Amino acid sequence: MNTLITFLTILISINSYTKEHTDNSVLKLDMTKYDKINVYNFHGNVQVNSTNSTNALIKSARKIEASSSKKLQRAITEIYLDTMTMDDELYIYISDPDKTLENIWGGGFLSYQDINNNHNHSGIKSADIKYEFDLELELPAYVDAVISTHKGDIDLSGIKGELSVLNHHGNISLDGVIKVDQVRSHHGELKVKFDQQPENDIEFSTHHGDISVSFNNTPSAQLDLDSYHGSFFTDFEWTPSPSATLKKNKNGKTKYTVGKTTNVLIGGGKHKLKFRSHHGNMHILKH
Amino acid sequence: MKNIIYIITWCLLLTSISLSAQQREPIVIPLSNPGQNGVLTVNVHNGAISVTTHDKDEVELIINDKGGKSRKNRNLSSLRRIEKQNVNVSISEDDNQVKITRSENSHMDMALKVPKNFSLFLNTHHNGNVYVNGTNGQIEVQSHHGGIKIEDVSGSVIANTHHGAIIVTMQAINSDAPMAFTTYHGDVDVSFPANLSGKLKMKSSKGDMYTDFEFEEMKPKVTTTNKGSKREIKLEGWTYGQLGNGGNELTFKTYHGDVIIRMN
Repeated sequence: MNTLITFLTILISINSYTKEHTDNSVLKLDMTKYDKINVYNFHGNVQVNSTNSTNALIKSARKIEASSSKKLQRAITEIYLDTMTMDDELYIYISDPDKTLENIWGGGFLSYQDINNNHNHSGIKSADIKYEFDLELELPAYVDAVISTHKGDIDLSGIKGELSVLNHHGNISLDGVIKVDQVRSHHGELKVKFDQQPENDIEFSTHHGDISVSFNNTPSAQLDLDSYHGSFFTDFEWTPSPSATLKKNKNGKTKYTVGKTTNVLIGGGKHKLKFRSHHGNMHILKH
Repeated sequence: MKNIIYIITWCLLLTSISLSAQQREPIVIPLSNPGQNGVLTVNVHNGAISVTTHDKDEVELIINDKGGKSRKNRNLSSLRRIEKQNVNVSISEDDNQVKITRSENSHMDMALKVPKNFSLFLNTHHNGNVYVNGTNGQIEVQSHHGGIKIEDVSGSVIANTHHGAIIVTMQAINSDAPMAFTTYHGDVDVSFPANLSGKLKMKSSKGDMYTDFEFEEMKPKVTTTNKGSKREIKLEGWTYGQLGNGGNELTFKTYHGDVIIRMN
């Protein structure tokens, strides 16, 4: 038994990340040059606040762990926060030799993909290197933005431009927003507090978390709600709205789907607010 | 007395389904081959099914969501609960074969109208009263918690439930097909045209059996099994008989009820 414990201890110590590096950096960018900012973090939180300035301030706290000093030095030079410009939009992303940032899911959003070609990839993952970037952004209040991370929370406040906010592991909290296109997670909760009534269609989706959206007054919305295990609650008066029958034709066969989701109207029922979760409840509230 | 109870039960079923018509617009499923025979298959887990006929070349569906377990839940704090609609019905039409399925567990009744020459395969479990009227074709109904009433149909019928009566009135039969009417808690009451021909197989464990057909009673089947020095002789509880020239088997079975075979 003692031999087994000793063996496991040695095994754990071999695999542990013994070397660590942390540093901070600040980027200041003139946002009048860009139509939009796209922030794609990978591991780490993202915090966004608004500023009256026309400049964007991006503070990054980088933490890298490796199993040896040599590997750590390599990671410090190869893994960093980078920027690029495409179609007059600014991109802030993590440069990692083992990953590419691609639009493989459609919908206009990018995601990190592992480079699977064994001959080409540099082996950051296999070299026992872990990294995390905590980003703190100050953005002009009316900037349009995509804010994304794979593993980490996103907290955003006071941005009045058009927003899409996405992560996979982590919660998302938006406060004082006006124009939101999409808020999407998988393992996290979504909390969105609007400063005024929405004037566009919006999609809120997660798999494991609750969704809570609040307004300062009754929005004019059609709520399209779907949660397998969860329930739906609201502060507002609502009326049921018959769900649409979807019709598809394929090879002479016609398929209809009736009422897959719950549809209700609040206010005048002008804009479609789509809520999707699997395990979570949904709250549409007044604040 | 029993007949009055049946009438009240079926009136309530029909009333509930007709009330639903006021709540939700009908879903119209046009057929690929108008004027030709068709098949309707319905698979639901919780809810009544009613099928009647009309003169249109389409299938019409009216759904009545009766609500599920969420209706039992109270509002959360001061918040209003939004009731889940939970309809989630999938329908397909291919070469006059219409399939309707619903996997949700909440209670939802369906009322359908089909052209007369339609075969029906209807399957439900909870709250599963099934009503069919006026079709011409093959009918197979499977329920568990519900009665089955089939009126003025032609063709063949297989009807099975557990907690409910089976009442069937046939105008004409397809002599090429066997038929079966089986339940556990309830009467089996079937009316046939006078020219019925077939091999009868009937059983009621706790009830009685009645008919106004003249039939030739057959000997019950006896099975003998030898186990070493022991011999086991089993006399089946079934009653066998032959109507007319015989033909396909007509099975009638209940445990806590009567078997009634009537002549129209």
